[in-house]
Amino acid sequence: MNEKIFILAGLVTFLLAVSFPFWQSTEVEVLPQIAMQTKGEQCVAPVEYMRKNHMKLLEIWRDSVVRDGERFHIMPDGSKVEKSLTKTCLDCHVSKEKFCEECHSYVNVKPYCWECHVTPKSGGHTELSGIDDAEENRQNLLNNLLARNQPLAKTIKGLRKGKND
Amino acid sequence: MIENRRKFLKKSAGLIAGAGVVSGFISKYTTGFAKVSNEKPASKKSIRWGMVIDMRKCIDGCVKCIEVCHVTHNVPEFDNPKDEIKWIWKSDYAKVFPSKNQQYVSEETRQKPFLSLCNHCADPPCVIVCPTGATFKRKDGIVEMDFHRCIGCRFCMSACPYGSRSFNWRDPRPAIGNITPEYPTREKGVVEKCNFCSERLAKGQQPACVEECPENVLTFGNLYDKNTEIRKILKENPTITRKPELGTNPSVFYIT
Repeated sequence: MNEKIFILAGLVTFLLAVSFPFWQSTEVEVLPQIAMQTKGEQCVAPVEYMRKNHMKLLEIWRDSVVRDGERFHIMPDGSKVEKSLTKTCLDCHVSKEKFCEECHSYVNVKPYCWECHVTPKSGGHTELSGIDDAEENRQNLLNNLLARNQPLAKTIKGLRKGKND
Repeated sequence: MIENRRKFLKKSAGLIAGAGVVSGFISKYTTGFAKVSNEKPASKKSIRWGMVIDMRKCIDGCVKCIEVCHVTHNVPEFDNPKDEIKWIWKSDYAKVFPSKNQQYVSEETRQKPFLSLCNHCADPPCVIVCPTGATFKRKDGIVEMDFHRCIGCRFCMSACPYGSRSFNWRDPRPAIGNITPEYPTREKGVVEKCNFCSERLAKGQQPACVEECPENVLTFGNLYDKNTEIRKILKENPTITRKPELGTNPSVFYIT
């Protein structure tokens, strides 16, 4: 008869241990708060699609830009944007930390985009860094050059002076 | 009415042979036509980007093209020459043109450091050996790298007869002073090389090195278009290419 108690106790402990993951978290789950703050008015695709398939879209973009050289995406309203995570997506969804990482860390996925692609400083760059921005790009490039190479700095400064005069 | 076995076999053999001959003719002509149409897609192959390097104008000691290229494309600068990454660089004449197809070259030419970069060959050996298709030839003749697909096997590096490819032995990020955010960096274990500024061409700009050169040493253009500046230069000047005996058909030409 005494064995019954032991068996029951053992069973109860076993059941408790097995069901531990189900009853231990009693508090309400906190879902990630994604920054919905955006600059633009429309996304490159419907929100529902983007929520589920943004990674697929980015992969399609990547392949079409690198392999086929097709660099522009036609928006629903017919306008063109560059197929670029850093220049287009993050230009509108301003914060990478809040827009990308909040969710990614919650679901524990680690995309390796940022091993190579550079996080934009202010979230994103100009909307379509095309020929209109050529001069601005050039200036940025020159500044970059100056910062990276001091001995060269003098010659470039000289060049610049010549241009201004 | 009842055919015997012999007759039946004869008839069917005749039928099969007839069908064989007819289908043979059909396939011959159809594939023949297909081949002809394959050779001339005309519209798609209307561009072949190329470059002429006029070494007579290149100033000894000027490295502006190299600097601007390496800043634009976030090329790291490592202290150890073993780790060196280069997209465009200067090298001795003897190293750039080791073939003995030019004799009695002037002392001045031989002393000059020659600009070298990826030749964007018409028949690139690196593309043939790449096991993942990371290196591929674009329709416009540019030999492009898809860094996403590179597994770092370095077959392309041994296949390239010009040493145009560099391998990231170390994480390049710390070795890049000031990162240009418009262009991605690479990661450890990836091969890289000159891409003829395909990202700038897409915006209608010239390659950075061409734009930056103060002496107009570099001329860039479409080799398939007879009216371009580059074709004019090629017509008016004797030019040489690197290691022509290998049959890679480089798109980079030199005036010595």
